[in-house]
Amino acid sequence: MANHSYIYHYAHGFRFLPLSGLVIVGALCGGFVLALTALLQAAAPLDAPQSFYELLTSDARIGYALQSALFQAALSTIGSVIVAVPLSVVMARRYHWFGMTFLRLMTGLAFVIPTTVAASGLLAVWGRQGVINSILMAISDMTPLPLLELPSFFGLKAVVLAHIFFNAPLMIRIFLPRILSVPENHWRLARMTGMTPRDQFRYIEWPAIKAMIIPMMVLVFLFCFSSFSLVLMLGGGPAVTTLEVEIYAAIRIAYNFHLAVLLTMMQIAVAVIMLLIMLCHPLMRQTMPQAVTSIKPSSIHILSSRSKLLKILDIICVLFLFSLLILPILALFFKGLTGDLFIVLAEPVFWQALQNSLTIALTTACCVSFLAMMLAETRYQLGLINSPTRWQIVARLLLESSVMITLVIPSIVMGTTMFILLRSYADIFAIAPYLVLTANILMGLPVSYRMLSGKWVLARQQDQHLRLAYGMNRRTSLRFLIMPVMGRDIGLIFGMVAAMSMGDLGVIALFSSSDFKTLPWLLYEQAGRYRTDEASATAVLLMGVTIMVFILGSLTGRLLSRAPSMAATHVISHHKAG
Amino acid sequence: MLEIKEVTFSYAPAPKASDTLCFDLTVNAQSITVIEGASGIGKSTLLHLIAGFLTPLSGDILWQGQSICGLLPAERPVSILFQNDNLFPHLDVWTNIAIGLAANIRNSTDSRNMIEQSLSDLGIQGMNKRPIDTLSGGQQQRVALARALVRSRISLSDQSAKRSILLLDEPFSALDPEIKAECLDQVKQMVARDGLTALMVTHDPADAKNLDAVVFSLKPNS
Repeated sequence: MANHSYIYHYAHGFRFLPLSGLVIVGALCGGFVLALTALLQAAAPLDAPQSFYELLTSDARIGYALQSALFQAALSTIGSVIVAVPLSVVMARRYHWFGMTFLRLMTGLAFVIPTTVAASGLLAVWGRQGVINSILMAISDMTPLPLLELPSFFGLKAVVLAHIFFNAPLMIRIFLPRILSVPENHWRLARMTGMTPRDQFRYIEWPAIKAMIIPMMVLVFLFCFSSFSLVLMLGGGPAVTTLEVEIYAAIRIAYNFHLAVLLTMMQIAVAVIMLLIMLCHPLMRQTMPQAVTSIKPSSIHILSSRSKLLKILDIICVLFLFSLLILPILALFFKGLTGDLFIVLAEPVFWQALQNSLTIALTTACCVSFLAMMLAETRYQLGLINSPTRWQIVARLLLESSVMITLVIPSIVMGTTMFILLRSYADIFAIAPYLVLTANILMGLPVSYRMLSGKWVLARQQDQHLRLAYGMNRRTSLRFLIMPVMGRDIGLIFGMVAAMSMGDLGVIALFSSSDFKTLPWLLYEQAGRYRTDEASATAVLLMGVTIMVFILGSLTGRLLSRAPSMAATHVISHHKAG
Repeated sequence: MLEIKEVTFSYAPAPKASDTLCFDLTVNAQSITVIEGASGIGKSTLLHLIAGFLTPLSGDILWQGQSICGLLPAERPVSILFQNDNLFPHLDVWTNIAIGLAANIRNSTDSRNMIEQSLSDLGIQGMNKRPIDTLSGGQQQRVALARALVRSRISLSDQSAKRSILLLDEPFSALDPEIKAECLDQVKQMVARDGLTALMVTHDPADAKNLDAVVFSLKPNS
């Protein structure tokens, strides 16, 4: 009796979904075990270290890379939180100010904009040929003052600023809804008791976000610790590095396979520790991407102060966020559009790279959307069982952890393990597009699954009785019940994954060749050769295409969510009958 | 005496006569008044206008003959209790009450005595350090009443007047009948002991009887 609904459900043709979902989970787990085995085998003949300490001291570069990655990640995390907390408070209390809707929209930029484009944007502002330097030079020319010039942007400060560019908005998107969802009566109490902005922060805003500070810091630290493309483009040499950059350098520059294997092992160890923290800590799970909800203030009573000084400070904060997020993009647009845009467009290599990028991005988005739906359905089906057997409990656990493992393992590590696994059996560079595609799917799946599964399970639970009562078959249920509710989310996932894949400079760094390039790699090559005008133009084009594929996803979502109506058919048949 | 003189209000950005609420009533000092009326008639709106959370389109609100319309909520002689979210869940009982005295809580002997006294008056002494989520619904509303009580016992910063108006926006409607009766009794005692003027919004006609209150029924366009 306990499994009644589950059995009944199976009888209606949904059997293949959980089974195929479990096949995906099995493939992910199998792939992980296979990769680990391959790594250990690759390390074995090279006198692999037996302990973590031995691994750390086996090569001077490993210790240095770890130290450097820890330092820059710590600085980036602290910087992001220092920026995000006051800005979240300001954005909440000035919710209705002119332009705030646009600014809130721009905090979503971090989810769409490619890291290579952001790096180019920051260079367009702070670089030697950037906007700030141009202004300083112009001032120097006009006045008898000594020549003013910014120091080289590359290095630790550039990496930290780039990480703040991406992670402060991410934090704001977690903190802001929490402040806005404070009960309306608490704001009224604040007004009644005459709380100053400081009191309000102490009693209302800080308690609302406090619980998420540490989990968000852990997550951002993880992102910064395993950062690749930003460090590669802005690090300015071996002084600022991460394990990923060192893996790339070991394989593509130093040809030190031994070092690459050791670094990969270390990165996997760090990733597994992070995964355990994420799975064990309930608040950590909240920091992972969830279904997107609209942010609206609960109240108009959000600010009890009429202080002019506070207003001025808030304006400064808003301008700072504006300059942090929008100035690099504006500068990049200006530089890209006035620079070598037509030269870039005239090059066949650009069109070839664009074609490769688009093919990979759209295929990845299709595969990930489909796989995420299957996994979400599997989670729902497994949740239907009231008294699960031991293997069913194991299946549930495997589903969560196998999907999440790819979230914490950086793409470079995936690429390296693929390299190790396949180098004896195939020409790695000949199958590079497929490897990049596979890595992108693995990278897009955990985020998409997290975004889809919660709402999917809820939607399926809500219509469960209706569906069973009317004996709806799979196709009708999908068309009338699931798609109208989930369509927009599926479209969002499609757009996000396509955008992420368009801008990825991870695995391609290992497998690119003169025959196979993507747009981000082309941009990296141009920037590396100091062809900054060409790089800016490519960055603008890359951003344009990325935004277009994201919009394509949103439009697809709208189309999918359009609830089919039988009313028209009914009217026509009624007239015929009459 | 609390006078609400031809006060009008509308939630619409461009108000028309049909969606404008009008209030005109006089409440005797040191009494309990119950506001009744259908849902959406503007009972809570009236309390929020008196508290200063909303600004009237026209009309005036007078307390002891003086207009309070231009004052900020914190400057008005008012304490309010809502149906829910009266307390900050991350603070303990003592701090929640102390906020009523001054938002930048000062731990003086006077304030400590005042809080202890209010806890004792409401029969919740010994709960000082209890987190809010460990209290029952009835206990939580009594803590909120205790905060209103301490507020009524201190003078407003620049005046000799005290916060003698107690606004109750259905604060006990979610409680079971026994606890609700006890809370209503506490309100009655507070009004009698401290000379407060209470306005309570309710849907339950029995509340007016239990409080020996004057009843105002709000009607459309009344």
